Amino acid sequence: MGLRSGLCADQSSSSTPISTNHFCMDLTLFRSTVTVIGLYGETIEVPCNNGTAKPDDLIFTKWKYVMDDGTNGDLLVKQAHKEEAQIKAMDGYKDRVSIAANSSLMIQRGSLVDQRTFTCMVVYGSNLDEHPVDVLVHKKPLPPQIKDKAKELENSKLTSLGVCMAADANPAAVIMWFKNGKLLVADGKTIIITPSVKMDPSTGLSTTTSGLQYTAVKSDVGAKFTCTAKHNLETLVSAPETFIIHCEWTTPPPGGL
Amino acid sequence: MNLVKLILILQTLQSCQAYKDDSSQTGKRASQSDLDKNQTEPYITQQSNACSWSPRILRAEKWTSVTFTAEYRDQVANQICMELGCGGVYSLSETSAPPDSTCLTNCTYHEYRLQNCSHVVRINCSMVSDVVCEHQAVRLAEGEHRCAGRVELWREGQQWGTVCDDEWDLRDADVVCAQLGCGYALSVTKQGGAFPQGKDSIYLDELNCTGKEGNLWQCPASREKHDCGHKEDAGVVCSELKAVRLTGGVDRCSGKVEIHRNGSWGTVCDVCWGMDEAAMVCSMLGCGEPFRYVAFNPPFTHNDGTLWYYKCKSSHTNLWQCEEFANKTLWCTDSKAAALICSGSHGRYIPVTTEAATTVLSRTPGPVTTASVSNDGFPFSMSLELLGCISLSFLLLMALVTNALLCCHYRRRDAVLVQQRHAKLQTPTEHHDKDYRDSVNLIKVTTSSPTENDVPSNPRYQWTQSSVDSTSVDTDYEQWDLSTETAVHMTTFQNSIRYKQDTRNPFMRATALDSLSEEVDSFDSSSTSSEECYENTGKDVENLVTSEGMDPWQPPVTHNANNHLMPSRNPDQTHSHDQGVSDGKSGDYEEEGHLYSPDPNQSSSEGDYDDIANYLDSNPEQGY
Repeated sequence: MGLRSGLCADQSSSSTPISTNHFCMDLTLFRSTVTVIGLYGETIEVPCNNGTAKPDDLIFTKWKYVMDDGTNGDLLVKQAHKEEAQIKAMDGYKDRVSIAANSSLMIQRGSLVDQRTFTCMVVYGSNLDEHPVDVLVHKKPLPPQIKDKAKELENSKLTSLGVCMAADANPAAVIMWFKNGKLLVADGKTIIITPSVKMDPSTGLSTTTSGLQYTAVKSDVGAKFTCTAKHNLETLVSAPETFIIHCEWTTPPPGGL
Repeated sequence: MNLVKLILILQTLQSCQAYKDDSSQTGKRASQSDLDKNQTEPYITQQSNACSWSPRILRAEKWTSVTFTAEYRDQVANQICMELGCGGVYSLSETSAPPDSTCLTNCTYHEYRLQNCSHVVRINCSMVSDVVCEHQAVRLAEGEHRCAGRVELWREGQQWGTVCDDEWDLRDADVVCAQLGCGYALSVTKQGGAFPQGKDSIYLDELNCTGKEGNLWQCPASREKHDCGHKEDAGVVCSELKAVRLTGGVDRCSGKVEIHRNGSWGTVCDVCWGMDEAAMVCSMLGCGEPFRYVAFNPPFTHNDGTLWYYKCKSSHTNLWQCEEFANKTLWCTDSKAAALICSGSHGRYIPVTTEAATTVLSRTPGPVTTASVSNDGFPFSMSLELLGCISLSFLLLMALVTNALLCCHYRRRDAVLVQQRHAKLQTPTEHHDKDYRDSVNLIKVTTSSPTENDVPSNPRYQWTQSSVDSTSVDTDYEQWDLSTETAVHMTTFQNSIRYKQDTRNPFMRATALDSLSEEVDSFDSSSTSSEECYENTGKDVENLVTSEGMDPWQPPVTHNANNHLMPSRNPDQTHSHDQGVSDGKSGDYEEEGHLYSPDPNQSSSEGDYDDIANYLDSNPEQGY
């Protein structure tokens, strides 16, 4: 609900460093929610009130989250007069959560199950503030690989050149085919690209595969075919592949076969 | 005229001035001899409690404690307490005065002032700040908190004594609660009350306070003569009683945390509840260590009472040392009620639906020392008693199994013999041996038992088989009538004897048993039915095995009899039957006899068994 700022929707990828979280302002009609993108397998840092300093008359800081059934569950409580926080979670979060000095929630070994809303509740003096944060967990795909490579391409014949696979990504990667660095665009006749995305139900990660059917021409001898997996975190390029192009000669070549 | 007035005025002025000079001179003298004499005299100020007071003296414009000599201190304190009608001195607070201080002594007490004191310089004087007289001293003994317990008063020489509960009511108790700063009285306890009885003296009886008195001695009461024993010691629970309890759990060591104040129990916000607090409460309740204090599913809800919030430090050992807040609704927003399971709790607590959550229910008990918030497990360690019980049960089971096996073995043999008997009703006893041999041979033919040792076991097998099948049992019963009982007894004796012979050697018995068990499996009888066999024999087996000089084989036979009855009877009946005849080996034989009679509940006569025993003893050797 509400508006989404354009900055979040399509993040350009190429050279973004991996370690930072990405902040987006998601303007809703009722309240502003901060969105945080964490990295799969890494520790997700969920800031409390954007990392604002703690109030002087802080009583306690509590982190809670929206559970799968829609109800709220407690994660931990950090009382101002105590050193250690008290873990309140009873499920998978029990061993994974902790609170940082600046009240940020630290979730270890982030995975797609952590894509939910976490709320930081701050009680100080006679006030109570809640700061919800939406968490997304992204993972760049494994380096794309071209499989099922054609043994040889035949001149002017539509053959399956190969299947490019970019595995285990979130969100799913987009595969693009390049020949000699130039994007191949499917036209339904000489170039046919068949993409598909499959999600692993246990991890929630998506594997994108793309099959390329290509009609070779004489000039394609020695051409380098690559597929790239485009992802908001990073775009990865596969190793280039060249194919033998088998030409059909109408007349025997000079000097015999 | 004017001149006269002028002179008069001048004179008055002069006299005034003289007077002023005089007084200032006195003052000067006073200040000069400040060390010798104080400007003001000590006052006695009473506290809000009637019988505790403080001596104060003005020094450098501040009221401070009064310095007395060491000897005079006790004397004056006692005197003043007496003058106030508060008995003697219970306690006084004092600090040592610096050496060479000016100390007061030999004062005269008059209406809250000490007058005409002598000033001396001594080394070890004492600066008295407060004095509590005897009558003001009161305490509540043997309650879990200072605001609840048995009422005790103090008297010099006799120390702490109790109060009798005759006429002891809330008004009287209010006085005590007010004295202790514990609010007002919630309830009084009398004879048979919650607090244990005291000893030594009983000071007061038949109190009739208005509730406004400063201490119980000021109430009309009977002091000297009373008709009370310590069973009737009075007690009270005051409103400010600080108590904590755990409710809703399987015992007092687990449940929702509830805090008592002013007669009602409130709950604790779980936001403030942590390891430190849990440890405090568990130790306060004497329930060991905290086993679980967070993540209860389903969570506990607050009562309609007060919402308590505690700020405890790790240095605190008792919950009452923590900073306590009541009804901080903002802090307790969407919090649940704190709850606790201590290691001393013996049972399961609440069903936990979350799979990952600590499930007190489903797990077997784990060692308490490894338990933590994230640990699942049953909150008690295996006590010695439990281990003893388990081992005894195991032994019993083994004995049962052994007995039943033997029983079945014998029974099978007997069954065959019985069938033989039935076929040849009038067969004279001298042919018994033959019969046995015949039956044995028959058995041999029918069953495939290779060794002689196993021969006796064959009838047993058959017996078991038939015993399992209730219809066959019934037919057996029908075939026999009482007239043949004695004959049957004899045969059974002989059977038993022979059996006994063969199996006197425990090793042999073991092997017989082994073969037995193997062959049992080959029958159609289900394992459950043979177990039924065993169950019955359990009690008696133990009795019989443990009794001296018993032929261990006898009981199984008897029990077989019982087992035989079992399929057609209520197991309870059979058990009682067992019990009825479990007195000794003779009992077993009688049961065996009952095997053949339609009435299994026929009470046994000891005589039969004795005969059997004698028979056995006198005829130990009988071959097959």
